[in-house]
Amino acid sequence: MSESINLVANKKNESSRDKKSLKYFRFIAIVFLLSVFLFAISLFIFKTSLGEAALKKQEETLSGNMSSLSDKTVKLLLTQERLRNISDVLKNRSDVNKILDSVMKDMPPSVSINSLSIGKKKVTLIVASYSLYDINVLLDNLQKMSEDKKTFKRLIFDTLSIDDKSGKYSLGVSIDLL
Amino acid sequence: MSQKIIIDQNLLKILYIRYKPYLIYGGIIIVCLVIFLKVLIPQVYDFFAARDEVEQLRTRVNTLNQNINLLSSLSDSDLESDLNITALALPPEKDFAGILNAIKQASAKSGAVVGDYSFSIGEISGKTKDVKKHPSIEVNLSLKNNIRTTQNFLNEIYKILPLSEVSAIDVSGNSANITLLFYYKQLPKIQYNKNMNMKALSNQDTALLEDLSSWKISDSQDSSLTE
Repeated sequence: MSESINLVANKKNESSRDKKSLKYFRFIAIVFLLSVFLFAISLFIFKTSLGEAALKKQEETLSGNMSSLSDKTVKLLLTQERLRNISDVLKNRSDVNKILDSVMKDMPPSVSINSLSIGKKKVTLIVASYSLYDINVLLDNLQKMSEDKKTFKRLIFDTLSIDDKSGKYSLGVSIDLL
Repeated sequence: MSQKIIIDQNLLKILYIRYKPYLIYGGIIIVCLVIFLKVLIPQVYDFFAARDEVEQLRTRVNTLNQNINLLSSLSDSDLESDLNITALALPPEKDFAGILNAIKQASAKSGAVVGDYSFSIGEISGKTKDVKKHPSIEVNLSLKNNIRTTQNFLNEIYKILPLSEVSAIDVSGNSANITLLFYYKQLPKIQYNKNMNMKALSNQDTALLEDLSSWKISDSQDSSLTE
């Protein structure tokens, strides 16, 4: 039998290695166990601290209070809806008075309107006067307004005639509105 | 030399006794891993989902609180009166009496003499199929006045409820033909949901309501919309 074989010494080494690895193993197991435990506890605490149940209860109570105010809710929302539409109508409705004012604002007193027609996009105007000068003044004013492009887009000179019997001049113009 | 290994109960028992601590700790580690992966990780996802839900819930609760505070601060009679004024300005249905009243008032205030008039009513019975944004009733009106009085009439009718618009005007000598459009609009179905953040009437709204109130011609126009 060989003397180099030392079973006792080997067994000791093996035992200490086993103990060491068992120690590590135990340590890892404890770390895992603690980590999972702490993680679960923290998660539970975080979830509880969200206060979901209390908020849900509060929401239910408030919804109940809100339903008792449903009449006021409907009135307020309807008023706002009506006001939006009214505002739209007012914004988009054509201001005929403004157009009339613009036409008549600087009209010389001797000039009278024979016929005036205002549509959505066009104004047709026939004026008469004994004075050709005054008709010219009106025409200049209208031209100036059309150049300003505030109300009128384009001014078209249609007709200029004279009534032989009365000696009255008659001017027809068309105005394209903005 | 090959040696046959016989696994019998005794060997398993010996192995079990020999490796018992390893098995216990290994088992603990495996159970921990399983719990972590199968239970805790999904719980983390649940937590984030719950957090988002709570955030939404909190927003809803805040909105509800704000809405309740707002509505509690408003007087029911003021709301009723505001709604009635807006309903006079833009009636929920064809308001022929209101139109005739407006024409009468405008002619009285401007001194205009109203001649013939005609309505283009459209469909009277059944549900209106008018899908226009702002449906209207067309009224053709003849005035027996000069242009100044006609202008006064238009000034007046623009400041009387229900709201109207002059779509065409023909003035010739001492008579004028006017085409007026009187607007109306059906009431929508109001649907309230918890996430709706209600707002009080803005300054613009209040100013508009004041204008409309001043355009209301008489108490006879008071009609409750909620009746």
